[in-house]
Amino acid sequence: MTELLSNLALGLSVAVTPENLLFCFVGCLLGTLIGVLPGIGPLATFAMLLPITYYLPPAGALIMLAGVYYGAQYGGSTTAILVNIPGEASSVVTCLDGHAMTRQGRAGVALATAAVASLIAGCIATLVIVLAGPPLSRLALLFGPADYVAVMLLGLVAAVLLGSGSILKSAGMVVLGVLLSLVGTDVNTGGERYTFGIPELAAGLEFIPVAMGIFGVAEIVSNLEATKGRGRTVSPISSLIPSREDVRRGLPAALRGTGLGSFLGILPGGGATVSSFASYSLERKISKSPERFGRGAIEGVAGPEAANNAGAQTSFIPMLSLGIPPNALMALMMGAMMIQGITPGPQVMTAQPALFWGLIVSMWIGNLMLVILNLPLIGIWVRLLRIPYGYLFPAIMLLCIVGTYSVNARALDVQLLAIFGVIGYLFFKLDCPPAPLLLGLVLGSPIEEQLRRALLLADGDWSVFVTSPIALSFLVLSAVMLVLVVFPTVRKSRDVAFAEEQ
Amino acid sequence: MRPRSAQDFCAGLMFIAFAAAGLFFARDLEMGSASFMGTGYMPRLVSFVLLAIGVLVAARALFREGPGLASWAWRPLILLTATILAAGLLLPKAGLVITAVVVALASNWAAEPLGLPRIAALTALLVVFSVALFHYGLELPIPVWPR
Repeated sequence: MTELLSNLALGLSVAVTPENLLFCFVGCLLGTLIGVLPGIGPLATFAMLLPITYYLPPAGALIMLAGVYYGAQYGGSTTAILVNIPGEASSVVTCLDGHAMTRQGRAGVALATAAVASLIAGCIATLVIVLAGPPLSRLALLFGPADYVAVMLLGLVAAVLLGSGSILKSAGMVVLGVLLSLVGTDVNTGGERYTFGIPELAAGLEFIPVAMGIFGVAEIVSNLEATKGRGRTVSPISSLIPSREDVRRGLPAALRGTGLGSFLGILPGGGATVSSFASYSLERKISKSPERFGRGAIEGVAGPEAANNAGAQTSFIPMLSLGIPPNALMALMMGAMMIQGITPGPQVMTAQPALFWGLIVSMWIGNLMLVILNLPLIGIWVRLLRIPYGYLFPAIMLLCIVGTYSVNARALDVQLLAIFGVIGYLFFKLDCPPAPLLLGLVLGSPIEEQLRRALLLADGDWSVFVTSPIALSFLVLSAVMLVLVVFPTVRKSRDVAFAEEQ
Repeated sequence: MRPRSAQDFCAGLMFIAFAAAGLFFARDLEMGSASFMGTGYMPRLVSFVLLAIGVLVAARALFREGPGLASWAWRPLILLTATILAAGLLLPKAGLVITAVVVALASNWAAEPLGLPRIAALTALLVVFSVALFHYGLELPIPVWPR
């Protein structure tokens, strides 16, 4: 316990330096901004910010990116409630009851509920990270190479199963990502793979042009196709204060959502979106008056909003303690850490305690900042919605190009950006979800490394994956998840959840 | 036999094409054994898994109803791709200001163009913003003006 407190104190000392408070503030502000603006997701923003983080100190870079991540959940719900447009995938369910409340003239209450529920969830989820992180890291240190391969496979399987879109195609995208990760010099033999004689490729495929191409450029093209660059109109906002009845219904829902989101966030493949869908169906299921849902039930706002924020935050746990990103955003976070020369994994907590605890405490501060930032600024966010996309995307283009170029100051990366923009658009048109590809790209190298080590130690005997109890249990868990999804009931609810999303 | 879902069928073909390229370009790489993997072991392993998934996706599309092929927004795609390629060449030589102007004008042309006063204002804003952020803020080693 004292150790815990001293860790938190260390984190606090890192997080409240003026510099890091500024990074936290900028991250939250940017996150809210992109959350409000439909058509710019947190993935694209992460991809755009990655090259910039290269020039920041490690703690500041991660604190800012984390701020963008949970700030986007906040901003996304603002547009969901006010104009019935989910700024982010995770706020899709907030549209249902949140916008219904707006139509009843209770927009202010819905916004305040979303903000407070998110704050409650953020505080509790931060505690969960503090409590669950260290034991998990210690556990991870017991892992042998075969166990690592198994847990990474579990992560990839879960990402495929819990993500949106066709399972088979998602699996293909994961494997394609792993294939792309093989580009470059094989560290074990020194031989070159898929470099086509281009010397710059010997160091491997840069993460940034791939991510920016697929999530930045391809998104711009598909957005231009969909929106034709227009803005939107918005309804006015009423009082922010919820009634006693609202609190009585909303508070337990927020707490249930927090619990559910914290749990789902830790699971590989989990995160904000899955958590919010799960919470909404839970609230509707246990409600005594389920008919109110979809007509402005406050539980339908408080629960999912708490859940998506909790899930967004606890999804840092597997990334920070195991070095395994549970979703594509965390994969980009890992990319940011690697750019800074930090290898994510159990050693981060012991080798970089200031960074680790500073990041965690900054999340709590960030959540507070978001409430302070959001409630007074709602009017401004709403006006921002009227900016047509035609003004926004040239700026995004320029950020992508200069950002990509700046990392290594070479034209090849910009050419890769163009190529992956086209490939990303192809994925979009063939309805192949691009997020799993990013996970495969990030996890490809560690999987190969650990697989080689495991098989070298086992003298080429593949049975090592079933003789280690840890590896076996992860593989069994993956298999169980696969079987469950083939089951009609699970499959049906998954399809329903994501049909609403699309 | 016509596929029931042209979209999925093409997705399967895309996976197969990537896998085939993976196998083809790894053909000269040494295979090694499971305990001492050569440079070509993982590329072949991963390509074969991808090939299998591609075949499954394409085969399933033959029998299961699904969406057809969507039309492509060729104009923004081609123009924006060309803009990126041009900007990549311009940036180190012509500098930030000219690149920003080119990107702003070309992007605008790729979408539904704004009127002249608006695009002029947007371009000016982008130039100021990019020089402020990249040159003064991040102090990137990119020239501002042609050298």
